[in-house]
Amino acid sequence: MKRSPHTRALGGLFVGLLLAAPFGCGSDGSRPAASPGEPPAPSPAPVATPSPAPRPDPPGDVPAVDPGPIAMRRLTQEQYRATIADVLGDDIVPAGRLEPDTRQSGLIAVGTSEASLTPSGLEGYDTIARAVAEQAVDATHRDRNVPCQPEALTGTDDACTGRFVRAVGRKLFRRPLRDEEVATRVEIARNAASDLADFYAGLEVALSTLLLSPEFLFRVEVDEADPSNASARRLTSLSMASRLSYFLWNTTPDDELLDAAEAGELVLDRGLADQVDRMLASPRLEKSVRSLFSDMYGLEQLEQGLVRKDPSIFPVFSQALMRDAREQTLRVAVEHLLTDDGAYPSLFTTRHSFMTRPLGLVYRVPVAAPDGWEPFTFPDDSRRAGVLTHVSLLALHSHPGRSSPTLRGKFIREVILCQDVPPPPGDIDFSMFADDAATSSSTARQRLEAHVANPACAGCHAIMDPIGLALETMDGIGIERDTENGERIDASGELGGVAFDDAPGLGAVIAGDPALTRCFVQTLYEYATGRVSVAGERELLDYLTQSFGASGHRLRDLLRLIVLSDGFRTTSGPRAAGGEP
Amino acid sequence: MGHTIRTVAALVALLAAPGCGGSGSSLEGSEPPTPTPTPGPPGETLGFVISSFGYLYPEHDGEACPTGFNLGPIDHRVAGTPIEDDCLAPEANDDLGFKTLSAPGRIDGFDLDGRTSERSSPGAAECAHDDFAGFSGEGGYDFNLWRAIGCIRGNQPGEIQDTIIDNSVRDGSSTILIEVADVHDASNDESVRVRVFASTDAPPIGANGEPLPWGTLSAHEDDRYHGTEAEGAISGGVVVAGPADFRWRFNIQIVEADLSLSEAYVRLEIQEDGTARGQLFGYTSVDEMYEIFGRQAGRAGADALGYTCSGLWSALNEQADGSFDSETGTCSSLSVAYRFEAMPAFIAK
Repeated sequence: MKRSPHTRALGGLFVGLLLAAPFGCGSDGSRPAASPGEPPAPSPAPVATPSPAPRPDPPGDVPAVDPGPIAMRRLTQEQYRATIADVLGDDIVPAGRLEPDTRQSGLIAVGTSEASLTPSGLEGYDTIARAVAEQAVDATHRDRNVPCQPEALTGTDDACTGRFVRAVGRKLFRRPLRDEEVATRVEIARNAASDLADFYAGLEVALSTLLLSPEFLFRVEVDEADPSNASARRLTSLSMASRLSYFLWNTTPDDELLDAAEAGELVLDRGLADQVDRMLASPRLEKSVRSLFSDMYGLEQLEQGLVRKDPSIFPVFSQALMRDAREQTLRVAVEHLLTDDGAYPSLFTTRHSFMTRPLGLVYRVPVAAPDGWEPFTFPDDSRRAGVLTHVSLLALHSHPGRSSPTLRGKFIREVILCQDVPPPPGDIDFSMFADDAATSSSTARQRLEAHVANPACAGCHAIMDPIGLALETMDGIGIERDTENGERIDASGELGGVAFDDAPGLGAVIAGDPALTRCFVQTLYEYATGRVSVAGERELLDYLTQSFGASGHRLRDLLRLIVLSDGFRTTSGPRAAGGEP
Repeated sequence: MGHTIRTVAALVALLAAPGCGGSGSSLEGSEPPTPTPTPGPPGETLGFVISSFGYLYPEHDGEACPTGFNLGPIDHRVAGTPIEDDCLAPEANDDLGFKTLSAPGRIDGFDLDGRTSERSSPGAAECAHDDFAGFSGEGGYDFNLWRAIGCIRGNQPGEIQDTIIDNSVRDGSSTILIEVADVHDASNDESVRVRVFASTDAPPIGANGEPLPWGTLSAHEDDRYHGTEAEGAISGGVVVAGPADFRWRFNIQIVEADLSLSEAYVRLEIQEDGTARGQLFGYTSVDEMYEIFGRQAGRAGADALGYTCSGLWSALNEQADGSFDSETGTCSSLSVAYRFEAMPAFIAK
């Protein structure tokens, strides 16, 4: 049996390294003024470089912003895996249980700022770190990941170890390692290699400590005084690199971005704009768009098996189908917003989509490709138009055995239009909706009329049910239907005083609703900053919304506007422990 | 790999046409249809994947096999009547006690040869055989394979063969697709075209274990398994088309072989929910049938179902009623009749 290099060499080192890591973010002076490895703050002179205007001229002057705090953000599961793949190779498998992502204020991205690390979560990261480290320096991968050859395979080589730790550590920590951080790992590697008479076993242990460090598991954002504004604080150049990279690529910064950060270019308007333009042109941008829409729509629930259907009612249901449903919506978002550079509102009216054979069973359309995906366009007279008629959202916002106009309407109000829907009172009598006799003898519209008759329900349901009923011609898993319990379904309704006849009509009304784009701007902004927007950012959001409109609602332009805004680059300082974001 | 999918009907709309599906499953007449050309634009194409399949079992007033079922090699040994039986050389031995089915019976069948045949008075260019009657007193329905194998225990309804065949169309072992093209009215249409395809795709199965509608299945990549086009008509929601030649690929347990139907007809009744049920009729050669049940299923099949290969070989040849050879006066194929149920599907070709 192979003896694990960790068993003898590590001891309590992981815990010690964790506790010793300087990742506090308090504004009381406990946090370093700049992150380790940070370049000195540039002098005010270069900052005077005029900010390049976004390609579409934004309307009016950029409003002043009173920004929110910075935070320490735990890598999401997706970001963790993407980072491992980018740093050590996409054939390195980080198998194991990562700490679950948590959703706060509607976004996992915001939840990352609230996330902690549980003891069991730490064990999971430890297990994965060991497995990843073992793969990364094994005989198959060491030539790729280790930048030097040891003097002897069975001995120690501090110089080579140091080169390895500096190179890999820079990408994992998203900043240059301090000398003492390198020295600690070199010592760990030396001891392990000596004990085990295996140079690469030493590297394996050293890499494990990097992977288990909070500097890797958390994106530690650091701020500094803004030389151009004595009363303001801004993110450091290196913190900007991480924020940029995880926002626009959903993974760790590449060498070019880190080089720019180390040169202090990311706190300069021109340097930042250059990098942003490069990143927006990269194919990696797709990762970010996928992550954004999965987060915004809660589609990870489809991937993680959290959406279940009664197989006796929906025999077509399967986990594979739910995964395809998620992927379909993400593909449409990427195709429409990036590949075609389409306007965001028309995401709710587009008939273009993608199909697999399992999805074809639900949409009841032919799919030529035996395996994989193929483009598909719903005909003009179809009831399918826009993402709201996708199986993903229809199934997600339904009950296990039936559709739910209320859940669908609530999703549209809260997530698509950013309108608050109060929670139901605690003494609701649900029997009128759950009763078999009632549910088997009428349409949802008829059943939900009870809401209107009940004053305790009427207020909230009046804003949810009518728009959800427009989707009733698609059942609880998204299969089209004309009738329910033998009665013809009426999918007509109105939103904001604009009437519609059916689901495509609802999509068209939503596409024209000003709340749609304002909501998207706010959501994307909060996704970027990892926190709920604050009152001092309201004018900025209004400005971004107007600019987004002036750009024709193109996603790339909005991403650029957000990144170049002071809201993205400046901060009110670290968030108080336990305080509101 | 390029695929094309024929346009598929909005079946619900087609079925909404007056008079659909109200005539029951029996055929209004047994004569092969005489399709007439239909002018105008092509109609819709309906696709189906067979989800249940088996012999079209005749009904009998009395015992169909009054002296019991046949014995397999093991049965013979247990009964103290051991028998030599070489499935690869069935002519080498005799099973003089092998029982065939001679009792009269009724099926919802099809008159393949255009006459009501009686073994006692065979017509010209005909091998002597008895037809089955219909349920309305009509006669002339051909199914002589059943006369050869109808007294085999394992071939009875619900027995092993019935189950194996039925499962094979659902698990991908023997997927069969039916395409009904040029449909203008799913209730009554004077001219439609029907093709049968084999497929290596398994029909989609739901979480409840039942076949799902509206899957897409690819026609077999080898066009030998694409049936020839049969012309036909729809009357009272029942499609009848033929003749045509169909070929399937069987890959069931130890059997991997082709099974063909020649001079075949399909009858298919479209249900209001979009599913269909129907029958396939035609002729299968003795050699092909024996290849499956004798040479390939071999001794294992004979023991499991209860027959001897030598007896089966003799019975298949004795009951052959198709492919008449005027020089020898013998026949080399058997009339067959299968029933099926089908789910609406898309066929990718």
